[in-house]
Amino acid sequence: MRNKVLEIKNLKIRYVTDDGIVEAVNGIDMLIEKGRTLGLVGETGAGKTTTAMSILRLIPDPPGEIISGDIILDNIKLLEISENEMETIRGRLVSMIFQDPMTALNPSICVGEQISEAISIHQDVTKEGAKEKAREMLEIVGIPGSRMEEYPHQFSGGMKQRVIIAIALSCSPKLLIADEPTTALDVTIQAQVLELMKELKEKLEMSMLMITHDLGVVAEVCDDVAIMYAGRIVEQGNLEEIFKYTKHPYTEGLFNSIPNIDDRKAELIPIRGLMSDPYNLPDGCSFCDRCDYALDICQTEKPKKIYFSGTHFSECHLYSGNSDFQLNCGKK
Amino acid sequence: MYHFLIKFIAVIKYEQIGGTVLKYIIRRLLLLLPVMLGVIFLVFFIISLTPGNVASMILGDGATDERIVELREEMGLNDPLIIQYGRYMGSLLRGDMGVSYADGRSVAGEIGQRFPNTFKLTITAIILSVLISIPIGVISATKQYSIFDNLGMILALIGISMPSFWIGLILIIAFSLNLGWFPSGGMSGVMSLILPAFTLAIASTASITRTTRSSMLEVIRQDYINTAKAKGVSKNKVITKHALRNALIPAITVIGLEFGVLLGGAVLTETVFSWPGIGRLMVQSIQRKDTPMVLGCIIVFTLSFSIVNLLIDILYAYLDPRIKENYK
Repeated sequence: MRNKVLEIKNLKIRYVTDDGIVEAVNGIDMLIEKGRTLGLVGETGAGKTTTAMSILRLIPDPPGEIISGDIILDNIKLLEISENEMETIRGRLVSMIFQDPMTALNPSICVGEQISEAISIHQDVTKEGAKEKAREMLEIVGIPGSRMEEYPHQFSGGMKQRVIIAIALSCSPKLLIADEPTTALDVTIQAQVLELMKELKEKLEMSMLMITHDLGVVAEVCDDVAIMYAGRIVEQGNLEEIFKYTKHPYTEGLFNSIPNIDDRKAELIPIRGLMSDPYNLPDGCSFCDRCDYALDICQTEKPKKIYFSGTHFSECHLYSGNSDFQLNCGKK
Repeated sequence: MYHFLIKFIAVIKYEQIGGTVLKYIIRRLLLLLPVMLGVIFLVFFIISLTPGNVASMILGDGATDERIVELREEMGLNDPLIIQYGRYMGSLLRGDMGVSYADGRSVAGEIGQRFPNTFKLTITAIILSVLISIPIGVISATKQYSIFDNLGMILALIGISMPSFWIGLILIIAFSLNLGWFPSGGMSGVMSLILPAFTLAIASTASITRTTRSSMLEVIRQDYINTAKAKGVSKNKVITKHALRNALIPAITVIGLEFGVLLGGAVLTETVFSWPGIGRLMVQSIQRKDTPMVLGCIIVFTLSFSIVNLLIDILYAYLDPRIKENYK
């Protein structure tokens, strides 16, 4: 058995609001091994960020609450330790890169200080030592050390994201969570930032949880892929299994929504409809209202995991009787 | 006053906040001139509209009509207003604020004697309100909708709603007349400062608390607060180091504006507590139609308010590097 860095078991999270209860995460399992990158893919509102924030235990409570489940990071059960212990874990064992670099840096503190702060919290170094290390980190992400004293507003978006990466990696965490790290950047910068993250991940032997809705990013950096829909992981497998042997209709829908570079005039096939109301999830499969393959049973019964290989599974009734069922790529 | 200013500029230079800020200060001070001209113009004409005859007031009840006419002529009160205004501005530019109509004392001398008292009172009040309001605002925001928060906000609402002269009277009844802890008026040491400063501070405390709370609430929802938490920064440090500094900027704006409110409030509070400051001096001078004295007080009020707000704008630059860039 390879080294487990993160294991999530049957995690359920909900938000209790005045308008009702939002079931954001409905029993997911996740496993990330040492040095591997898991891509968590899904549309807005699928529960990706909630899952990520729960690993840092930063879900605002109220309204958020973790109802059940286990989050085990480096053999520590995160849901059972105190807040003080959690503070020693954040930034040291796990750190996070947020979606929007424009707002993720404190505007009134210079970037050097923002990096060295993390170092001096977790490492036994003097102020000077932390500063020196921060300068090194800045140079690793490709920013001259002379810009230590500058403030976030003096950097461009891509540069800011590099600073954020420097902060996140300053204590060489075992797990890096990246929440759509390139969504807010323009395309040319996206590639640079992804390349940098990939390179540093290998250098520091980290594992990574890459949250994204961009399957291109997944193909670029991930080893494994989990497709999330309405708080469930509906399909999971390694890169090849997901891309080549797509099983779940939702995953297929995602692929059909990507422009085809070989045939630029080809029309996109969007997934019809909207995600089901998170205040009131259906009894059966959450996707069945949007699914072209839906069976009668999909309306009434939640599908169970069906394994196609040791790593590849899908939660879909189509395969319950017939595991050889083939999706037809949206063509009717 | 100027002595302080020069010292302050020297400090800024020493701190290397830079020539840009210095230039900014000079520009702002120059802008003060038209403001002062406008204020003096307005007040001069408003006073001239108030009823009453200065000459007969000076001469007293027994004066003959001829003597009154004679004195009016002597004082130039029969000249057109615009000439009187020109005459006043002329001597003001030479640094002469004139003499009091009521008792012939020099306006500058009288104000110089009384201004420190008002300064003492307003500064104590502002320090008092900052010391109370910032912590309450921060705690209210971090524990939003808790009992502490609700209680704090109700008290703040009451504080804003109560007129300061009324609070002053109530405090005098409670703490001077009934309990006898503090003197009911006059200026005699620290004990006599407490009631008027507290009276003056209540309304500003309330509004600074509310501003601090709301800007803090906004700041703690920002992404960079999550970044700080994700780094492992402890809960308290997230608030004091990452949130407070950014939340203080709106709060400081209000502190500057409240300083003006405090000066206005000083007029009432000084009267209620017989505090020998320029607020009370101004009220007395208005009643006596003592134009030079009223104008002198107004000039000092306007100057102090403008200078405080200038200091606050400089403080912004210290708190927020983005604002500093704009001062170039």
